[in-house]
Amino acid sequence: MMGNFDSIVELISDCLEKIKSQADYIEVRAERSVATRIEMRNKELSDCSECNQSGWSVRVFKDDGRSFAAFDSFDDFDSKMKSAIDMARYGQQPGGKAPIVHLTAVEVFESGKAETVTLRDKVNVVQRYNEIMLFSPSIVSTQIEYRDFAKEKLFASSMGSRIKTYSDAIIAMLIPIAKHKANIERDIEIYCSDINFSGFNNLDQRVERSARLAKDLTHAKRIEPFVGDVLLDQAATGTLFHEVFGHLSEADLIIEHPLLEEKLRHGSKLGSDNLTIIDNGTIEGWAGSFRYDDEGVQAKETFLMQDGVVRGHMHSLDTAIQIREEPTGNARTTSYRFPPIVRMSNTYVDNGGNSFQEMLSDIETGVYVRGSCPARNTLGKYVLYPREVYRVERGEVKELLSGAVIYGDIFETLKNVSGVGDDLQFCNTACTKGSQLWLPVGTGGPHVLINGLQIGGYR
Amino acid sequence: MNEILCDIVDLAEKNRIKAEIFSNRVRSKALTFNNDKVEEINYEERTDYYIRVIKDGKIGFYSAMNFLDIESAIKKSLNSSEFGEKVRFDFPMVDEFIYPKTYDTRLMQLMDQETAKLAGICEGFVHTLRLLNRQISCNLSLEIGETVTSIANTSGFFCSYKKSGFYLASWVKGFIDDRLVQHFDLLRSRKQEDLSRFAEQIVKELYWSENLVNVKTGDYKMLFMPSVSKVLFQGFLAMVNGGAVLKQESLLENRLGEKIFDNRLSITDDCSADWLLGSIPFDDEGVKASSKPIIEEGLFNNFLYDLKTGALAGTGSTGNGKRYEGKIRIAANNLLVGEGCLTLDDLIKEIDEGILVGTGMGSLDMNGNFNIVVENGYLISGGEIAGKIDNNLQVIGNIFNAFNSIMNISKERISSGSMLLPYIGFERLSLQAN
Repeated sequence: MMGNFDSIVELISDCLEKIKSQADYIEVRAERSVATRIEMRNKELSDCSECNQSGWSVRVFKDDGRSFAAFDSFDDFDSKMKSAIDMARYGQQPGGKAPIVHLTAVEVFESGKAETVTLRDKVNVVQRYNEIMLFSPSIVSTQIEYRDFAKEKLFASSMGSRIKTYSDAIIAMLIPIAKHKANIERDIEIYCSDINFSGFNNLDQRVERSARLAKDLTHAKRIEPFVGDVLLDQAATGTLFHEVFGHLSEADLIIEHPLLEEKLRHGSKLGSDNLTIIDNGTIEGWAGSFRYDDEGVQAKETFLMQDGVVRGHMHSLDTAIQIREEPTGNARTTSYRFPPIVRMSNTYVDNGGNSFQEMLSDIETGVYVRGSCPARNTLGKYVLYPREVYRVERGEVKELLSGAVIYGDIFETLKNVSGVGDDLQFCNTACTKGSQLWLPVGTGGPHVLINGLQIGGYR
Repeated sequence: MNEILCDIVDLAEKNRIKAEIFSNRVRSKALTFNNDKVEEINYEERTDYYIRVIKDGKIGFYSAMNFLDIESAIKKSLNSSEFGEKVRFDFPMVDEFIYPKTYDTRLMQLMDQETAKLAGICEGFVHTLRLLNRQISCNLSLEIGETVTSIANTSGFFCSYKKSGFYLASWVKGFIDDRLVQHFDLLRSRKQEDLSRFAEQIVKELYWSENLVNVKTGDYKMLFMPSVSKVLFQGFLAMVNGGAVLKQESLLENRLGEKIFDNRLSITDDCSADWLLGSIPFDDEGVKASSKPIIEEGLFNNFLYDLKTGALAGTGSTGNGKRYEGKIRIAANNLLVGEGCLTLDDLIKEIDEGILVGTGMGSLDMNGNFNIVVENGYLISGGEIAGKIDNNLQVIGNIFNAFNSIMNISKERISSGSMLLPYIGFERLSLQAN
């Protein structure tokens, strides 16, 4: 069990003091959190529960070796620490020595307190949104998944750093499912923010719009595959560039794939002249903001691409030393259970100089894509599954289309950006990488026009 | 841990409420092995607890990781039951369970031995690959672990079983005629596997990339590798989910007993095959697991239910209640697709002009329409692999049309997660190429 956090700091500090000479660098993360989950399917609450979690982990760098171990209890703390040091002697890090050169000891003790919102209040809001979604008999089914968490984290290193932080978030997914004859369609509305319950309590219009969209999609014309221009709204811009360039700029991926390293060298011209992409963990109020990352490095602003030219990558301490660049404060983990890996904070496309109307009127045949949406990528290729797509013809937005899929080659897409708007908006969402799910991040951008994209469909 | 389970049940009984506690005790060791060196070793121990109570017919929940305060857990789950839905089921009693082989003692001994032994598995695998192609380098991720699943409830149920796990992810890079070719693959099992066949298949697929070719948009004969047809079967499973039927979200509502697919296609939900990932004695609600045909020679035979949906449908649970992130979901145990009589090589030989879809990013809409953006696709010409397709491709279709135009099904079946799938050939599918 994890008791008082202050006594844990003492326990860890004492142990680190005793054993620090046995390794080059040791860091310990301890965590305790309380979370709420509410799940509603149709009119029934299928889950409504609290979840308590606690645990700790240790990461050791010794000679050229590295280990990570996560435990559920502080019992036998000293011997667990020693076995982690013992394990480290097998790991041989490709970059050589441990990344201690980059670290300066810091002592930060933040405190925080979750808003006092009762389970009843949370359930009431979820039930209200469910009622809103069921506005029409065409909505045959609904699904709402609400999660919030408040988490205390402690980071301690053999270099003397002691960082106690507090974070919280609400992540909710609302899905209306509509049916018309044999045609079934759905929309997915995702909400993510730090715990600000009044913000979550104010989504009525968004929820209603989502339900109406699901219903409208059952009557919409199915898209026929074609190659055309795609105008993305701010949220869709955020999603696409998070997927196509954000993940590609995470240095762990670059290191694993030599071809990427070559392509993404500093100074490479990969995008069109008007394209600037930034990762910035210091913006107040964004879901991906924090003071220190999970390796104790201060968050900062990193230009990934400026005017189409590669300017930087996102790093953990490990990747920074391997590529010989400065750490960027992008080492994040969703839980003490996982070692920190390179993750985005708030990644967005910066404003350009084109107006929405100007870009729209440039389109002969294409589509207008609205809203953030699911996306997938592999090295070099991506797929976007847009929620809301309208046909555009000769500069005019026409009817809603269903079943669209946008896909292509990442590097071609970056080059084919022909317009970047002047109406930047931010959007909070959650990102998944490997087995680390639902990490709050910020995305966004202005309207962006991309030429010659492949627009596919399901049939 | 057993004490905690007993204490929860005792306390629930004292409070005259029905209760169930599910726990998973997990221990695992993983190493990353890159460029012939162990790069990092990870170790994890954790215990998850999930509690459900039924009070006045309404269900409540609570969960905890690593530490459980029994009084508080019951209190919080009762608090949750105030908002819970009315349920018509009761927690099950003990049955006569059949325990398939799920725990490889030899594998677990390996976990507790020196890390060098695990590194030896990776070294052996790389050595096998290099016997097939000297220039190969690879990044491997090897994980070995065990899970002890225990369930106790106020109906007198108290059972547990152990599972071991062997997981190898490989990213293989090789040079063929000075051109870099890459291949990613996963192997998951409950026991230590012979890796030589896995290595052979990886190298064989690397050589398929020897030539680069382009193809045009059109209808083609297509052969799906198991990891690609998995997308279609996952979509199909969403339709046979009893919960989706009750919510009118399934196209298969009212189609039980109908012939919906080609009569060469048989799909079984199996729970008893030794060493398969989804084999279990009882599901995550304590219901005895049973094997059942979902599709028998094209005929649709069964929906899958958990306790809640089984009670609502009047059928009872089919033993398909699975915990996913702690929540009970309906899922197949092992999805077995019946084998055909030709080998993969024979299937390729039968195709004069067609496409082999190796890997792809696929999705299925709720109407059974699918879209697969192809990552690795190969052109088959004159019964042979002619090369890797270089242009961007997507395959589109509908599972009902596709599974009614099957060309052939292979004899070999490959594990893909908890599915055991053959290679499947389709007479005609649409390909969009740039």
